[in-house]
Amino acid sequence: MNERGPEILPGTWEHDWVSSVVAKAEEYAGRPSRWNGKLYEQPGPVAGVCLPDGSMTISREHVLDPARPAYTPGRTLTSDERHAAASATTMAVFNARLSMSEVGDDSMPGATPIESLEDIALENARCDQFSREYSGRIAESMTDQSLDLGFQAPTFPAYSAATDRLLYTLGGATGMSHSQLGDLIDSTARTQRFNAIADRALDHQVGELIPESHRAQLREDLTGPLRRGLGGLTMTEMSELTHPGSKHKWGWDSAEWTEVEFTTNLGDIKEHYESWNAEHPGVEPPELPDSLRERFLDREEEIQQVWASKGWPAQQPVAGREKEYYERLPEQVYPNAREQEIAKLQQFLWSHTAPSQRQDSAVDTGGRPDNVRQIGSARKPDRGVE
Amino acid sequence: MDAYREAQRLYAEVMMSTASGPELVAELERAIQRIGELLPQAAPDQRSAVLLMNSSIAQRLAGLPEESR
Repeated sequence: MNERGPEILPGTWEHDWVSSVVAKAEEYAGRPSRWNGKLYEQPGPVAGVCLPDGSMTISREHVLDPARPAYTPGRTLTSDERHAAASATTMAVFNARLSMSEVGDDSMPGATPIESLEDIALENARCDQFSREYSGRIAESMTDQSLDLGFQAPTFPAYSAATDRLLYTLGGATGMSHSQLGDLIDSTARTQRFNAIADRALDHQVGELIPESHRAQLREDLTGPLRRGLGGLTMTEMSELTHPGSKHKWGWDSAEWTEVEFTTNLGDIKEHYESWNAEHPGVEPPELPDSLRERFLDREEEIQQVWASKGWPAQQPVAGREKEYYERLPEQVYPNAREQEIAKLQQFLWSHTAPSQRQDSAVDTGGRPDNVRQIGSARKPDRGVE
Repeated sequence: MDAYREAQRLYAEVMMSTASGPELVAELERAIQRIGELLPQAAPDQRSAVLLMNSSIAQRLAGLPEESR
């Protein structure tokens, strides 16, 4: 597939319009775009893409042509034209917002891999939120035509709902408002966003009590819940039978449990450093004890069990679950299509995310999820299958 | 099954793919094509969402190393 078509030259209506959308998006976002001004036609059924070299593509068929009548002075629009222009504007704004994200270097230790499930979830949610919030205002500032850009359903309902709720619920842990936390995410390179949230929470709650040499491990203790919570929602977005409204609710509920795991881990970390400091003032504290790390693992599994009890595989399976459990699922008789779909998704999930299958950052070379460390105690024999 | 939900399913499925190299490229391209085929069947107010899903896949494709594509 060709990733870019012919260049759209500066001075053309198309280039001017995209430049205006990007400039307006920069104004509302309060940060610059990384677009280098080079614009190409996007072939195929794709709205547009921000390319690694800083250039951008935009679909003539799906974005530019439908937008043009609404941004041409003196035109009287039909209802269909008005609707098509509104959709085209939303897509252009989405692309403009995408062009503002710094990618970062995912080869750094602790970085989130670019295009990992959690990176895709967070980035799409932020672009989705931005385009829904600002497309109407951007259109109003560029044309006298009234485009119907009021309420718009999210493109990625589960991702968007979960991210939006996390921005509210993590306010207490980080000491930041919804918009401040959103700004922190948007202004941080994609590879470091989860670390930035963890750092902010650690600094806000425990501050100078943490030796810098402990920070990398503590980040993992806090980013694990965020990564699993958001990345796991791809499974929810995948469901054929779930209505988008229900996906929104699953995202909302997932964020609640993600926040519980995050803030409870943070509370344990805070307790460790504060109690050490109270008893040994001025003495460098030890790292978290193995018993506390074991508690984090227990908590991770408890959250998994909550999801299992709700009957939905919204998160990745805990290491140690029996493969046979997933393999026998399709053989059972299910009372309805819903139950059957859940079983199919669980089996798919196992086949794609079991420790031996995972290739991304969530699993290390030993096949363990990234927050599972070789600690002194043996794995609990009863951990695993519900 | 409506076109929008089927597009979402295809999107999530390809995003969870564990393939790599040329196999991943083929899967991503196939998903873009299949989602594109669903576009005319999608309700007008859902077409931008379908196109943005394809953009997200194309974005992933564009980020792969040159030698894979």
